[in-house]
This record gives sequence, C-alpha cells and structure tokens, in this order.
Amino acid sequence: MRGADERGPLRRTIPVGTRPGISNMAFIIQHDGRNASQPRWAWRSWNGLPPGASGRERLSATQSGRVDDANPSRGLRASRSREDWCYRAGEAVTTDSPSCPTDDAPPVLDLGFDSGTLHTVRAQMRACVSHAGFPEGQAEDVVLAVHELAANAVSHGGGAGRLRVWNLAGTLYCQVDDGDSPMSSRQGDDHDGTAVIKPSGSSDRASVNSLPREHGHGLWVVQQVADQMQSLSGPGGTSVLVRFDRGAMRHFA
Amino acid sequence: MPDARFSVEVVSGIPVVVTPEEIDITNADGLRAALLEAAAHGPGKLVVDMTRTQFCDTAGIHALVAAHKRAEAGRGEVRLVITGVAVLRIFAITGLDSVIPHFANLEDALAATSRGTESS
Repeated sequence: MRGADERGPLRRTIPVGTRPGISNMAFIIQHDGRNASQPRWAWRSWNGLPPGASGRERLSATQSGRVDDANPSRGLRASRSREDWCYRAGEAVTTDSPSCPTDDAPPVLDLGFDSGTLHTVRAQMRACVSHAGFPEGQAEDVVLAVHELAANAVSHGGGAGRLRVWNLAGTLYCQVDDGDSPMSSRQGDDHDGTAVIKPSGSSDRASVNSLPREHGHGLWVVQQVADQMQSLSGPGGTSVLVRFDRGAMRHFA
Repeated sequence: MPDARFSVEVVSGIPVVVTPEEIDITNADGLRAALLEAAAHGPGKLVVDMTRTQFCDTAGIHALVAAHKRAEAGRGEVRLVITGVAVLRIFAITGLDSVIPHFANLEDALAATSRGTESS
C-alpha cells in the first residue's frame, strides 16, 4: 500500500467473531427475504487467487474497534457462502500490506476534504468516473461508495481526510485516508511529493461533535458495490482502498 | 452544499416533509428533526417528498428507517416520493425499497390507500 513506510507497521491482526451490533440495517435485512436467498458476488483478490486463499488476499474491512461496520446483520452474513467472507468466526486474520497496483501511478484526483466539502468530493468523483468511461448507473455507485468512506473519515476519523483516485486501464482505485493518518493532507503539507488540491471555499466546517455519531453502515454499502475493499489501520489512522471495475455493476432486483 | 434544509407542510391533512437536493451526514439531523415534527402532527400517514433529492447517503437512510419504525409502532405509515436515480439505487442496495412504500409523485403518495385500511 502506498506510503507503507510513512505509516509504520501495517501488519495488523484483525479480531473476528465479534457479535455484530444491532442496527437499523439489520432491521432492513431481516424484513427483506430477498437478501437472504440472493447470492452476492465473490470477492476477487488482487492477484487472482480463488476464494478461500490465505487471509491476506481476501478483503473485508474493519477498522480498529469498529467491527460492527465489517460485520453487518447476521441476516446478511447468511446470504453469503463462507468462502465469500474473509473472516471466519474465531479466526484471527493477519494482513500484511499487499503490493498495490497504484503504488507507481500518479493519481487522477487528489483532494483534501472535511465536513464542509463532502459535496465537492461527490462532484469531483462524478467527473472522475465519467471521464473514466463508467456507465451512469455504476458511476453513482462509485460516488456513493467514496462518499461513504469520506463521511466515515469526517465522522470517525478526525473530521477531515484525503481522497486519491487512480485510473488503471479503466479500473478505478479510490483511497480515503482519515484525518488521523499521516497520509492525509494538512494545510500546505506535501508528504510524498504529490501536490494536494484543497478545495476552495472549504469553510463552514461543521463541528465534528455535531455530526451523527451512530454507525450508518456506510462500509456495508461500500461492500455491496465495490469489487474489492481493503482497510488498513495503524497508529496514525485508517486508510480504505476500494476498487471498481468498469462495467461490473451489481444488480439488486 | 446548496440549500440543505428540510420543510414540513400539510397537504390534504397529511404532513409532508420536503427534502433538499442532497441528504448526507451534514444535514441528516435536519431530516430527523423534520420527521419528528411531521410525526407530531398525529398518527397516521407521513409523506417524505424526495422529488428534489438527487443524492442520499446511509445517514439519510437511517433517519428514514427510524421514522418508519416509529410510525409502525404507532400504527402509522411513512411513504416516500422518490424520483432520483441515485436515491432509488441506495434504496435498492439497502433493501429499503421493499420496506417503505415509495411512489413516483406526491399525488400518488397522498392518494394511495394504507395497507389493509381505507384511505383517509
């Protein structure tokens, strides 16, 4: 993952088997029998390994101490085969930082954001996804997913963050670093030589304390639409990287 | 974000919450407040007119789910007017489209009979 050396150790043991928090989303799932029977797609690994391969190739996100985002309702879990999930109850998964396809490529978008500029993130993402040739319906999925990651960074990650997007042969990689992360932008800082674009008029920043605290299960939605997601947390903060393959839009009949 | 406020009107005796172009974490509390205000008009139907809304995130979804659960507990009902493609999409993703009745326009939402009861 980009900037691994900046962040210190990325090797992380992720606890599993935690009972998911009761949530409104659980209410939705339990009342919709469709989700229990309709299969979802299988996560694909970075290097094409089949499901059931070692934990480092599988994804599924969690952030330290926020396992409820990674473990939505039991009803949803029941809709997937065991192979589809990275985590099995009782197992700890250790993830090393995989080599990321974006490591050597310049991003097509590099944007700092806070609560006052989430709408700018969405507008920039729409332009980015359109430029990458994504069909309109799938484009909205990408915008929604990136928004949810950015909203998490604002709500839970210190109030601000950094978004970078790479376009590699039609596949979009979007990485959101929260404000606690040394990878995210600060005023005038330039950590790895990449120019960071701060949106103009980034004012009217709502106090973090005034924003909704409860988990909105944004990560759950991201998992429904993204082709892959990785979350890495370290002492400096959290980064989430999602991949979208052009044309691979999910259907939710 | 452009005008991010919510208004509550009463149309044909039914409280209607009118939502702005975008609903996200920065104004979801305003949605919650408007839904509570609308519910205070009394039991029964509550309509959320999302005709203008082109984007809604999970924070908005949560506020709507909370209103739906409150309404059901009071033997009432929430109905939505949804036209935005992205809004329909997040409703489909979360499965909420089969939980809360939604309509393509306000007139239909106001006129539709309640499940199993006469229309007001």
